[in-house]
Amino acid sequence: MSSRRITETEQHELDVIDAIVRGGGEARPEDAALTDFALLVRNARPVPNHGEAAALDARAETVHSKLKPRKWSTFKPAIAAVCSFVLILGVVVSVDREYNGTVTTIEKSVPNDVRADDFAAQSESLTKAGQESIPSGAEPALAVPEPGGVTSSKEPREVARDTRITLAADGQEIERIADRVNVIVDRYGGYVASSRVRGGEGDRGRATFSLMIPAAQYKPALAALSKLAHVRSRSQSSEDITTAFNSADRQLDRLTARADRLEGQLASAESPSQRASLRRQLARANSAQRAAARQVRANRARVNYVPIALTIVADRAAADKDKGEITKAFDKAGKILTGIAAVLIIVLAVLIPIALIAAGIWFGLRRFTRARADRAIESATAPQPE
Amino acid sequence: MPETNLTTDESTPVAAPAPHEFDALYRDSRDDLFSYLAYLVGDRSLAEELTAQAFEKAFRKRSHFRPGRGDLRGWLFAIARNGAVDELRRSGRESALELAPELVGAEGVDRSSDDRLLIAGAMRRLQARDRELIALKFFAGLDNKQIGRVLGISNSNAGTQLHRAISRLREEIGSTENVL
Repeated sequence: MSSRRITETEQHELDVIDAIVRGGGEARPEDAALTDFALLVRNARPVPNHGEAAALDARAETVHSKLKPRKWSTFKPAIAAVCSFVLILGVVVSVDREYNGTVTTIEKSVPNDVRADDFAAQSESLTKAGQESIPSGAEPALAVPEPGGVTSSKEPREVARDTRITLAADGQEIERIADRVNVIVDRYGGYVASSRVRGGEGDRGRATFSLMIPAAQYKPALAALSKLAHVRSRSQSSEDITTAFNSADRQLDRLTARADRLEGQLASAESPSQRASLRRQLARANSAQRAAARQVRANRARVNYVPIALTIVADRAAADKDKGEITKAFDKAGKILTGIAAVLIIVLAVLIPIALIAAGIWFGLRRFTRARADRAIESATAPQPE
Repeated sequence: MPETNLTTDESTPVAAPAPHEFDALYRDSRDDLFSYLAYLVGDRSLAEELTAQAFEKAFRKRSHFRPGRGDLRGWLFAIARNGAVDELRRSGRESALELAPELVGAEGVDRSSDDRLLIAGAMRRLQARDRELIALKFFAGLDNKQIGRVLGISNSNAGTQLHRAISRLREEIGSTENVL
């Protein structure tokens, strides 16, 4: 069939016919012939008689009453809203349970792992326990049995601590964390006795530090270090060296007094042999005094500074465990979205070819069906042989 | 045999027409739909049945009506045409339409009976497509857009084809009157 555009004259004629068919419109004189034609054809149509019209009305009434919307359908939006709410609630609850369950599993499966906050709290409680056992005003220390010595409970306690801590981090993060270690040590007035840092990626890389932290800053420094990464393990030991500490002090005092006494005797000695003997004794006394002084300094250093052996190992999986809750949630959401996207891509890869084939079949069937329908109408309305 | 679905698209639900819209549609379209179907199937009782079925189906499937593709009246006639086509196929009807006076008009013999015979004779000489276009315009009273919807063609194409069919019918009537 032609699809040329209709002319103005043709459109006017169609408009006149439309007006006649609709039962209205004033016909202009020049359209009289067209109007007569339109009325002629329109009036030739097979209209339903009274009985047919009544039968149709009855059928329509029956259908209308039978297919009236059911009452419950009024509540469809409310039902849908309730169902949606229950569904969302179920999803939220199940996700929450799954999330909490995962954390619990991690904590149980890695008993040596200690979170930074727990570690700081343990250190705090450990110190408090020590403080309860000593008089007020004394240095905090642990009640350690004295090896064979008897010390007065009123003497100040001298405690030497030793700590080893291992952190786990992504290999790429090790160098950054090492820098942060130096910053923390400086902040708390300590120093790095030795260090070795080897960066890497993923599960490769390692760093070791030998840190000396002032005893007064030990707790906050340890807490800060523990927050740098996931704490894989830690061990603390403390030793009460009060006896040894005091003993070395007294020894130094005795040796100092002895050296002073020998120097006095040497000054008053008259014979050469006596002076020679005193000089030898004085040399030995001075040597012993220096050794005692070194011991005293070493003891003071052990008490005044706490050595921390810090190791950072590369372990991406362990590092992930210690991420913040929000970070974990984002990671989880990202993984879920990535999974959904992957599934969608696969589904689309399958569905698009199927949809194209189906569309082709549909178009073919549509053309075929149209052709059949046209043939059916053509045969039904074909003129009878005269 | 499955029902034919030529021009209706029932895949995307939208806001269904209100019941009062169907009441108005029934009042406005009952006679026109009957006229169109009676001409199409050539049987008044079958036309009555198909008319009722078309209204019933339209009401039942009202949630599938898509206003963007045309109005309710065009949609109704498309449903009716599909039903008629299915019925014609089902019954294997191959006989031609007998345009008897009792089919095209009311009872009784008057001047209009002569006119109906004149129209019937002229329409017999038209192509099937032209006959249906004439029926859709003059019997069903559809506008060009509605005819396009029923036949699955564009609005302008419907106008062009319709004008051509009307011209041919006028020629046939003219030639018949000259003979008489």
